[in-house]
Amino acid sequence: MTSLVVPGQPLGPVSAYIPGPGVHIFNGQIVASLVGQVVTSPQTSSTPSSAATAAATKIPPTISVQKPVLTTDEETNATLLPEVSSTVLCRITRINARQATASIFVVNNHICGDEFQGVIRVQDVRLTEVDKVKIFNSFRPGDIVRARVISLGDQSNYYLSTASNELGVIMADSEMGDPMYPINWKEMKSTRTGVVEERKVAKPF
Amino acid sequence: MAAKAPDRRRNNPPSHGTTPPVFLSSSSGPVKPKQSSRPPDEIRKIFLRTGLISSVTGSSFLEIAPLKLSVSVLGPRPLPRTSSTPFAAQAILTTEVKFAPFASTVRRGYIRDSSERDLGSRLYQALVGAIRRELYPKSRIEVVVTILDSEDEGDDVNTVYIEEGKTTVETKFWDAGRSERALGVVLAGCITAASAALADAGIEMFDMVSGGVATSFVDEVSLKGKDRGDAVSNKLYVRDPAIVPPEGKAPLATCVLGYMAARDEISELWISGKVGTKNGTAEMDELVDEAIAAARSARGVLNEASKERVKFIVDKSGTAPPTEGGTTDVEMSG
Amino acid sequence: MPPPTPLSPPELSYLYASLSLSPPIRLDLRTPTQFRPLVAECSFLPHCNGSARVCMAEAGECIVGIKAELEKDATTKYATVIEREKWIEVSVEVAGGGVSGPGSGVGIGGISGAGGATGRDEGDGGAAVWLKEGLLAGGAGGWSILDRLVISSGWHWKIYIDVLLLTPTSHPSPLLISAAVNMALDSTYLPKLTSPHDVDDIPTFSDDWAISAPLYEPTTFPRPPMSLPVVAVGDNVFLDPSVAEVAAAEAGLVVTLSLSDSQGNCDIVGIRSMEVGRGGGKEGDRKGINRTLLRQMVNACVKEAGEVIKGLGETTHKQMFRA
Repeated sequence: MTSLVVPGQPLGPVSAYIPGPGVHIFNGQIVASLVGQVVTSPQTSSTPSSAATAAATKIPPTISVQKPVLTTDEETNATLLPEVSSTVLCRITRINARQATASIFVVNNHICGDEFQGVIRVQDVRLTEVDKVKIFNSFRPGDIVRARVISLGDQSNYYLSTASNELGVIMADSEMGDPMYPINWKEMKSTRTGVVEERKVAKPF
Repeated sequence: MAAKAPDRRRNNPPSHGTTPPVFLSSSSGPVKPKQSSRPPDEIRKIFLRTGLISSVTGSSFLEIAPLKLSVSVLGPRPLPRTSSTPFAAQAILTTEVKFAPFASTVRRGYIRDSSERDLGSRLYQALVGAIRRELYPKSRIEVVVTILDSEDEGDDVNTVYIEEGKTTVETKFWDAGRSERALGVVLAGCITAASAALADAGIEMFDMVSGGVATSFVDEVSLKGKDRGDAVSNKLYVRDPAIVPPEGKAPLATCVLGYMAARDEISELWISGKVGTKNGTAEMDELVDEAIAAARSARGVLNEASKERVKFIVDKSGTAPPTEGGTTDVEMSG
Repeated sequence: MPPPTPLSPPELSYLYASLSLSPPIRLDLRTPTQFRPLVAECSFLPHCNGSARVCMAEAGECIVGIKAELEKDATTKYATVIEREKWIEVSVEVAGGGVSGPGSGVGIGGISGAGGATGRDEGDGGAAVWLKEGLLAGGAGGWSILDRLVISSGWHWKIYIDVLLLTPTSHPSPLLISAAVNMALDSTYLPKLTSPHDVDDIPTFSDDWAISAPLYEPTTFPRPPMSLPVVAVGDNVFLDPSVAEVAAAEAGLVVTLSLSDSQGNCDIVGIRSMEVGRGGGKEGDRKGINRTLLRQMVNACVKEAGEVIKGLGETTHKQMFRA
C-alpha cells in the first residue's frame, strides 16, 4: 500500500533524504508540496570506482512526491513551463533581420496547454561563424524548429538557441508550399520541385 | 406487477392519489427560523470533491449545507502578451469570486459588485502565501470561484421593524453581523475549495489553506444593558455559524481566517464586529482560536478530498508506485 | 500584486535586515510605534455637512466630503438590514495626476490590492467596502450609526462619504484615508429637525447651523472608527509603515479601532490582513502570521491607537466652527 500525502505533510528530517521534486524544506523537515505518492529512490552509485567510498559517505536516498495522472495527455502537462535548458519544439511566426519569433508548443516532449512565445536571436542561431548568420537564410515563418531555452528572457519572450547540431529546423515547407527534406546542415530540398532552400537544419536522428 | 403496456392515448394520472400542496397561511404568524441542533463547536458537514471540470487544470466543488460553489484553477499559463507588467520572477496569482445571479434571493448582476471584488482580494490574500510561486516564473495562475447557492441575507428574520409613532427605531431584531457571517461562511468555503482545486491542479504549495469562521454571541439582554456585552463570561462562540443566530443571542464579532495547519500560520484574517480590549487581546485570541479550530476541522475534509482523486487515479491506472527500490512507505510524522 | 516599489532586491534585503534587528532601525529613524507627522484640517468645504483634508509626507493627500441627503424609507413599516446598510454610501476615487488614474485598478494600501492583480478595472471598491465595514461594525455592540440617521417614521438621512485621493503613490497608506474619514465624520453636523417626529410628511429643518446636531455626539462613545496599518518583519512590529517597509514586510494587518471611553481605551471593530511585499525575507520562511505575532501586532495597535484617535479628535474639535 502506497501512502498518499498532501501539501504541508512532513516526510522526514533533512538529514535522512535528499529533496527531489514535489517537496520543500521547512523547519529542518522535508515537507510535501503536492498531493501524491511518495517516491524514494536510492542514490545510484554515480561513481563506480569503489563501493567503499560510497558506503563511507553514505549518500541518502532522494525523496520526492509525484502526482499520478490518469492519461498522458494535457493533464500531465498542465503545470508545464519552459525552463532554462529545456528542449522545445516551436513554430516560427515572424522573422526580421535580428531575430526570429517563435511560438513554443512542446516542452521536453510534452505538449503544453498554452503556447509560449520565444525568440531566436541572430547570435543564437548557430555555434560557429556567428557574425555571418542571416535569419532569412536560417528560418522562415511556419518552420518547425527544435531549440533549447537559454534564458527566461524578458517579460514576454523566452530566449531560444539553435546553436547545436541536433537543433534547428526539423520540418519546413518550401516557398511553393511543398514539404522539404534536409540534404545537409544548411539546405533543404523540396520533395516536388527539387528546389533547394537554405535553413539552419537540425541533424536528423 | 402486471405487465401491462402503458396507455399512451390518455393523460394518465399517477397510480396513487395526490394531495394538493398546503401552504401556511400568512396569518399564522411569522415562521420561526429553524434552529440548528448542531453544537456550537461543531462545523457543518462539508462535501468537497476535486477534478470535476475536465477543461481546466484543477477544479473542485464544495457544499456546506446551503452553500454551493465551484472553483476552477487555470494555469500556470503565459502572461498576456500585451500586458505592461514587468518580468515576473514569480507566478502572478489572480482570484475572482462571482455569485451566480441566482445565488441569493436578491438577484445579482453579471458585473462583479464591490463585495464580490472584496471577497476576491480576501481569497487572494489567503492563497498567495501558500503557493510556491517562485517555481512558476513568467506565468499566471487564475482561481475562479463561482458561487451557485448561498445562505441568504434577505429574508424575514432580517427585517428591522420600525414601530409607528416612535422616534428611535425599536429594533425587534437588529442583527448587524448578519452579512459578515454570511460572507464569512462563503469566504471560508472559497478558501477551502480553492486549496483543493490548486492541489488538484498539481500546483506546488507550502501548505494547504483551509478556511474557518467563528462568531461570538452574547445574550440579547446584556446587549440592551449598560455594559453592552463587556462581560466576557457569558460569551458563546459558534464555529461555522449559520445565518440564524442561536435563540436569544446577539452577535458580537465574526472572525474569518485562512489557516495553514501544518505551519500554524494564518494567511488571511478578517475580523468584523466588536472585540473588547479590556484584557488586552484575550478576547480576540479566543475568537481567533475558535476560528482556527473550525479551520482545522475543515482541513481534515480538505486532506481527504484532495487524496480522493489521486487515490482514484492510482486505483484506476493500477500503477504500482513508481519506485526503484525497496520499501517506499515513509514514516508519517504529521 | 504587492505594491510596486522602486526598490531592488538587494535594497529590500538590506531593509529587511535592518528592520529585523533588535532594536530595529527604520529608514526614517522612527521608533517602531511612532507615527509619521500629518497635517489635518476639517470643516473647510462649505457645501458639505462634514469635511476633512489630511496630508502625509509620503502617502499624499486625501480629501473627504460628507453630504447628507433626506431620503424616504424604501418601505414604510420596516426596513431590511440590506436596505438600511444602503443609508451610507462610501466611494473612493483616485484623482488624476498620480501614478494611477481614476479606477486604474490600484489597491489602497493593499486593502484591495489583489484586485489590481487581475488587471481589470477594479476601481477602489475594496477600500470603500473596508471603510464602510468599519463604520457599520461599530454597531455590533447594539449601538449603530444607522440609528442616528433616522429622522422620523418614514424618513432618514442618507450619508454620502466621498473620498478623493490626491496622491503621488499608487498605494497610499490606509491610515491616510481612515484618518481623513474619521475627521470628516467627527465634524459632520446635521440640521436640527423642526417638524414633529411622528409625522409622515416631509420633515422640516432649522436653517440655524448653531443648533445643528453632530452625527457623532462628542461626549458619547463609540467615536468614529479609525484604521491603523501594522506590519511585521522578523519579530518586530511596526506601526504606520512606509511604502518601502510594506514592500519588505512579511505580514501586515489593518486594525480598525474605535474609542470606547474618554480615557482613550479602544475596542477593536475590525481586523483585515493587508497585502505586503514579502520583499526581503528568505524563501520558504514565513507565509502567514502565527498567533504570537498576531497578538503582538494587535497589541501594538491597541496600545497606541487611543492616543492617536484621541489626538485626532481633539484637533478636530479645536478646528470646528463652534469651538
